[in-house]
Formats: sequence, C-alpha cells, structure tokens
Amino acid sequence: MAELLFYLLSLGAIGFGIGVIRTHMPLYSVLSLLGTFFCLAGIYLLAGFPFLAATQLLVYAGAIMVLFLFVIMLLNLGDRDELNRQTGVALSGPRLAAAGICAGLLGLAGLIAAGWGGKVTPTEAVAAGGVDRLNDIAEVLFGRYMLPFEAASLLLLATMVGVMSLAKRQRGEETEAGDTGWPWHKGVEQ
Amino acid sequence: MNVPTEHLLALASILFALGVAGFLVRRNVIIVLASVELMLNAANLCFLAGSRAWAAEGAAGGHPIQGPVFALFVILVAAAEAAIGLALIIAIYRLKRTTALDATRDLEG
Amino acid sequence: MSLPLHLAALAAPRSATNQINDFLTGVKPDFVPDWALPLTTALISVGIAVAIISLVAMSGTWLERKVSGHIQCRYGPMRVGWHGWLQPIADGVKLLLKEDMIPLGADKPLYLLAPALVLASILGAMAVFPLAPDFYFADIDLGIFTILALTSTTTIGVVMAGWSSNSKWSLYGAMREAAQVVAYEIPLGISLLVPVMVAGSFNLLEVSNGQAGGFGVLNWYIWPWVNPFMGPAFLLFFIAILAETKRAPFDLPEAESELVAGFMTEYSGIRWSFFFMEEYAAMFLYCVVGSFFFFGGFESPLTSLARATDVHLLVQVAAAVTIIAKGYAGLFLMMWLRWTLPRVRIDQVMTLGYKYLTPLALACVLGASVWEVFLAPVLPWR
Repeated sequence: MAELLFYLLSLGAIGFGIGVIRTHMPLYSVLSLLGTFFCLAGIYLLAGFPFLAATQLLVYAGAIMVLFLFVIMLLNLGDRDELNRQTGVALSGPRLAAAGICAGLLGLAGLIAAGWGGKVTPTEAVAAGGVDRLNDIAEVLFGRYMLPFEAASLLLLATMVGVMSLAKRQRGEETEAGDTGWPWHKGVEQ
Repeated sequence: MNVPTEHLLALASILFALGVAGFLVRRNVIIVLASVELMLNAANLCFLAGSRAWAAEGAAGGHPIQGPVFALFVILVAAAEAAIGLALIIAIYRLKRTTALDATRDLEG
Repeated sequence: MSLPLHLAALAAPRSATNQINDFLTGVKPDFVPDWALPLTTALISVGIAVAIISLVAMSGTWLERKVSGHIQCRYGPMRVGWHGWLQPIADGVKLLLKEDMIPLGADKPLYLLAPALVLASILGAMAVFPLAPDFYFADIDLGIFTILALTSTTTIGVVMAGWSSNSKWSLYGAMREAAQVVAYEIPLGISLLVPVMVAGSFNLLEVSNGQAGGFGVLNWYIWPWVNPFMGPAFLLFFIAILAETKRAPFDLPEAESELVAGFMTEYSGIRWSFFFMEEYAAMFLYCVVGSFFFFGGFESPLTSLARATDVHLLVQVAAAVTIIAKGYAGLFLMMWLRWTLPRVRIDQVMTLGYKYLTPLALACVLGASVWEVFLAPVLPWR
C-alpha cells in the first residue's frame, strides 16, 4: 500500500510541477508549487523522514508560500490583460537551448529509472521512528555542523537586513498623489 | 515503502528538469522564483534518497543523518533566497510597474 | 498490506486507531475483504476527529454568545432549549439550508477549495492531540512540531478565500491574515521552546508525564520554582495564539466594523460555517497545547485522586475531564479578552510581533536555558 501511495504522490508532485511552469497566472503557479510541496512532504514521511516532512510543511507551506501569496496580492498580479503581456513564452536561442537541456535531463531521468532492477531499498530496514530522529539531528547539527549552523544564522541576519533595505521606501522617494503603496488604488496602468 | 532508490532519484531529476525549464522559459519573476524553489526541492529529495539508502545499508563508515541535516540547510537557504527575491520583486515593481523580467534591462550594455 | 515500521510506530499499540482496528478484526465477517479493514479504521478515526471538532465548534459558538451576553449585562440566546443550549443546532440547520452563493467574478475552484483546505489542516492537527493518556491517534515524538506545521497551513486556505472572492474587503482581510500569522508564528514557536527545553520532549504525552506529582498541581511548568522564565513565556505564547487564531484584539483579518467580515465576506451557508469551525477548533487546540506545556496537561488533583484508586478507566476519565476543562478555561479567557480590549491597528500588530514579542521570546529562551543548565541541577526540588 505504501508503494502505491508513493507512486501516486510522485505523479501528483510531477503534475503540480508541470502546473508551476505552464499556468498563465502567478497565483496558480504558486498554488501548484504548494501542491508539489504537500506531495513531497508525503513522500518524505513514507521514506522515513517525519521531521523533514513536518519542516517542509512548517517552513515551505506555512511561511515561504504565504510570503509568495502576500507579494502576489500586494502587487495585485491578477490583472489578466497585463499578465498576458508579461508571461508570454518567447522562443529565442537561449530558450531553445533551455528546452534542449531539459530534454537531456529528462532523458537522464529515464536512464536512471531504467535501472529498474536496481536494488529495492525497503524502509523496514531503516530504523523505526524514521531516519531523522530528533536527537540524532540535534547531535549532528550542534556538534559536527556547528560552524555551518552559525554561518546559516548569519545568512539569515544578512537576509533580514537586506530585505529591509530593499523593501523600505527611501526617505526622499516621491510618493505619487493618492499612492498608498497599493497599486490598484490608481487603476490599471500601461 | 519498498521502492528502489533509483525511483526517488528519477522523481527528483524530473522535478529538477521542470524547474530548469520554468526558470529559463518563463518571463514572470514570480514563476521564475517558484521554479527555483522546485529545483531546490529536487535537490532535497536526492539528499534524502541517499540518506535512506545509506541507512538501509547499515550506515557503514558514516552517519545517515547527514542527508536530513543538509536538507535542513537547503530549506534555510531557500527561505533566505525567497525573502530576498520577493523583496527585489517589490522594489522592481515599484520602479517599473511590471513583473516581467524582460523589462529590467537597464544594465545591458 | 503492512505499514512501514516507522509509520506503524505512529500508531502505537494503545492508540485509538489500533483499538478500533483490533475491534474490527474481531467482528469482521468472512465475506469482507482484508483491504477494507484499514480503510474502515481510517474512516472511523476521521469520523471521531470530525465529531470532536464539531462539538467544540458548537459549544464554542454557544459559549461565545452567552459570555458576550453576560459581559454586556444581557442573557444571550435563551429561546431554544434551557438557556439556549440547543441554539448551535438551530444555527447549524439554518446554515445547511441557506443558499450557497458564489459571487460573480469569483475564482470558482479556489473559492470552493478554500474552506475545505482550512478545515483539513485543523483536522490533521487533531491526529496528534491526545484526549486521554490512552486515547490518541498518533503518539509521535514530533507532537507539537506537527501541530504547528499543520495549523500553519490554515493560512493558505484563508489567503485563498480572500483572493478568490473578488472583493476588496476579502483581499484586505487575507493580506492582514498573511502578514499577521507569519509575524506571530515566530514568537509562538520560540516561546514554546521554554517548556520543551524543561521537558526535553516534543511529545505531548511525555510533557504531561513530566509534570506529574506534587498533588497534581505543584509540578506544573508554569510555576516560577520550576523555571522563572516560564511565566513570561506563557504570556508571549498566549498573545501569539490570540493573533494566530484571529481573536480580538488581533481580529484584523475579520474586523467586522471595518472590513464587513474580512476574508469570509462573500461566503455563505455551510462553507462560511467551515471557517467558524476552524476558528473554534484552532482556539481550543491552542488552549489545550498551552495547558499541556504550561499547566500540567493531564495532571490535576482530580487525576491524582483517580490514580490513587488505581482504576484504569477512572484515571482516563479524570485525565480527559482535566484537559477538556483546561481547554475550555482558556477558551473562556479568550472570549473575556474580546470584550475587554479594543482592536489594535495593523501597524501596531506588526510592531508588537516583530519588535517586541520576538526579541522577548528569544530572551526568555536564553534565560531559561541558563537556568536549566546552571541552576536546575542544584535545586533540591527539581
């Protein structure tokens, strides 16, 4: 049953992944991405990583995706006329090359999958309670990987400062009349 | 779950290919950022698949916990990247009133 | 047909799911195929969770109206049943019969999906919440982490509802919700770290067991002799859950006096009631989490007395009564605050969350860890 669930979730992840790149609305793209994350969280749980599954939900679904949705709403990117102009797909040299790379990667995936007879890794062999037991993670994170952990906290601090300075309006910056920072107050532009 | 590690890796590479395609072909910044997140998740899946295979082998000469820990770091970097990316989008939108990547070519020679 | 080991461990031997499964295996006639068993077990478990949520929501709406009424020197609902106790059922029937309207210009699939998503995440969180020491669905080491992860996804549903309604009130409400929930999740998680540090576990049952003894009262984590930083941590936790569950004074996503009804302005009938069920279930869930981590969980003088009699069922009942009473006490406190404090502005909400609560929560964790490392080992009562 778990195998069937895994293949169903994989199909779901791929389907939503296709949804991410082919929809015309940024909102649908982000919601599809969310679907992929939910499917992946299920796969993590099945594969023996309950902690990672919960982290996936908490950080990705609960925080990062909400941030995406917030920005989409802030910029009011639902205006279809403007969007058709913005999101059209152009076929130029680099983009054709991109398509080539993708085809190559998909072929590689096929080749890997062709190792069908590859050794089956039963999760029963994996320790009960999952691979990522909290104690083990804590021990490694605060022991062997202490330095990367501290570096990560610095990265987050730098991110915070950077985001503040990027998103904050400069003191002298002109705000147009009636502009409250919410674009749709001024009607459709362009 | 009796699934070969290869199948997990195949899923990861398909997701990664989708991410690359979206990143290179789409012109809307938000969708491009979403594609990047897709690629990062594919990388995470690889880490976990490796860790799982390692744990099943009996963890000879190492510790299978490294996979999840690196996946945690990837999630952290993804969070930082998303925050900076979205702040940039807001700044660009304020300047150009658009989220199309093609509109931001001021630095092109 | 068997679950992988680590998933089977989730359904520990005593769990309600396993008890249901054992019972069904015993009574199963021969013509029923084997694969029907886990499915039936799952459906029954989900049914129990839905029933709990509905009961909490129904009693919550009734309590809300009675408490509001009495605080404003009136009776509240009085007509249906004794002191209006059947009012929630009358309301439910009314909501079921109401026309289910979808506004023109709404994003239909998202509009229909949003209430279901909101309710689904709170249902998922119910799985890790034990109702009695021997009645739970999943006994996982990640208990509180899972609850936080699942409840954090309700925001997605709320934002989806606000966006798809195609109404500016809904959109404003959804934006406020997104900003507010992301801001308050941080102090919520960090303040919970203080009791987690003392208990040394994320598991709700283990946290409750860690507070046993002392007549069922003296070992609660909230007391300053356990850890003096627990009180401030609880205060931060309580403020954060008020904001997370969109309760006054942080009810900005709904804000009926400025945004009509915020993100649910356009919803009607049973779909609208889904949002209400989620709100009351989330309030109750967070209150129960608070009583597990700060106020002893299953431990109370009642439970201690029951334990002294050594009757297994009696202990279970006493523990269940204890935790439900503590949950409803929290619910009452939240309703009381609603009629005591005026609503704050959105910029004040953000300032409070980012500039005050988060640093204070971090300071609490720092102080509590210093206490745990240096003082707790030498204290005679720890």
